[in-house]
Amino acid sequence: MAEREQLAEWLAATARGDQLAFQNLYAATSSQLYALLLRILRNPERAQDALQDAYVKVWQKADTYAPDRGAPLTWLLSIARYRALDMLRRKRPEVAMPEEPDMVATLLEDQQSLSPSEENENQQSLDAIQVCLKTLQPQQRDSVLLAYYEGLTHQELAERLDAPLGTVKSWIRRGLMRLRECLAERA
Amino acid sequence: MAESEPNEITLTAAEYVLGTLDEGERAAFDQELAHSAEARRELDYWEARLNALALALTPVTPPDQVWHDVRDNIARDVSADRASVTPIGSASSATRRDSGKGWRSLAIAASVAALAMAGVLMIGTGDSPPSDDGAAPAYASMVYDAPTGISWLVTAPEDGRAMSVTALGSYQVPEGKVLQAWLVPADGKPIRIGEWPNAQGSYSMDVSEAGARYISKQASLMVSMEDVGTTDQPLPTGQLMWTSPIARRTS
Repeated sequence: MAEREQLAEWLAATARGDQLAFQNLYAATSSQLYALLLRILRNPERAQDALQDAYVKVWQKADTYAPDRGAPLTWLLSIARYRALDMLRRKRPEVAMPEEPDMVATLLEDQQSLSPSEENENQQSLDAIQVCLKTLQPQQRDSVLLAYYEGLTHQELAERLDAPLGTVKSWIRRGLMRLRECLAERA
Repeated sequence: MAESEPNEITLTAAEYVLGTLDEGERAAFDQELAHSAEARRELDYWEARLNALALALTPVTPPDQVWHDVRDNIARDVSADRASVTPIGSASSATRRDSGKGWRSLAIAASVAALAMAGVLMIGTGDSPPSDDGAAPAYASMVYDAPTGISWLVTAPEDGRAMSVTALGSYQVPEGKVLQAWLVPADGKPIRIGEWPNAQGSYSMDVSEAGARYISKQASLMVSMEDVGTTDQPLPTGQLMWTSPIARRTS
């Protein structure tokens, strides 16, 4: 994965219409975006459609990126994830829900299995959110992770976690509040 | 929303990023974003923090086709945005040529303004892009700089060895820099053509035999800005300025 400065440079060049820079940007980041889209959409064809849409959006909106908005990669991931959520909201009935009951455990395993890599900004951001997630109560953490990785709405979370809607909303908000506090403490 | 406590704004922003807001809440926050700098700051904050979670996933290389689709999509975007290739028969030189012969789809998007501009210039210079023997050119391309509106009309004969370039304006090149033209085969490395004209007027550029072979193979024209004195480099090293597909006459 290219460093922040390189990605920011390619994004800036993309904003000027530089197609080679855009190609470099795609080559350096698409595998990370695609992994997220596969996780959320759970269908390769739809994930590929979303990936294509996301990068076309990047091409069109590259000039709206500014370094103070965060790392280029998380900005790109935002675009891809919003696109996936749009697709989910429009075609939710076609999305096959996983049968396995311990999906959250699987998600957490994924995070725990992440091998330490270079100490770059992205790694630090990941470390921070992972550490802070561990300070949440289990239901809060599960709700946040399911919402993030599967794009579930409050209602869908309530069904998945077999809990009242109001309780799930409370888990999410309290979890996010705790996350904010923890991230601020680490900043 | 405007009277929300800071905690409410940050939580709503976080849920916006998570995607748990319902349609109405989402629309309300969209409105908040339109006029609240704090809401936008909070959104940026949470986008940067929560999306770090995606970095925990093992990267998966997408099929090559996705990139090809993206590239085709932005090429259409560029074609629609820029005037694209001028249909040769529509310009002032139509009377000398068989204007009934069409160009590939790139010509479709050509704007009336661009056509008129091309026509005026060709009359004004008393020159035109066809090959010296008067035969209709076999290839055409149009390079367009959106910020300045300056275009370059490019044509080449069937053998591709001499490229005619008409600059429809003078492009300001910074001191110590020079524009350099390249032919880029569909799946190959750029091939240097030579210095790209930045002053208004008509020019002829020689194309190497190797380069000419690629014109007929869905090549694109690319222009980079290089440092003076480095233009003998085999590949572009400076800023890539513009690319444009080369269209072939269909009949």
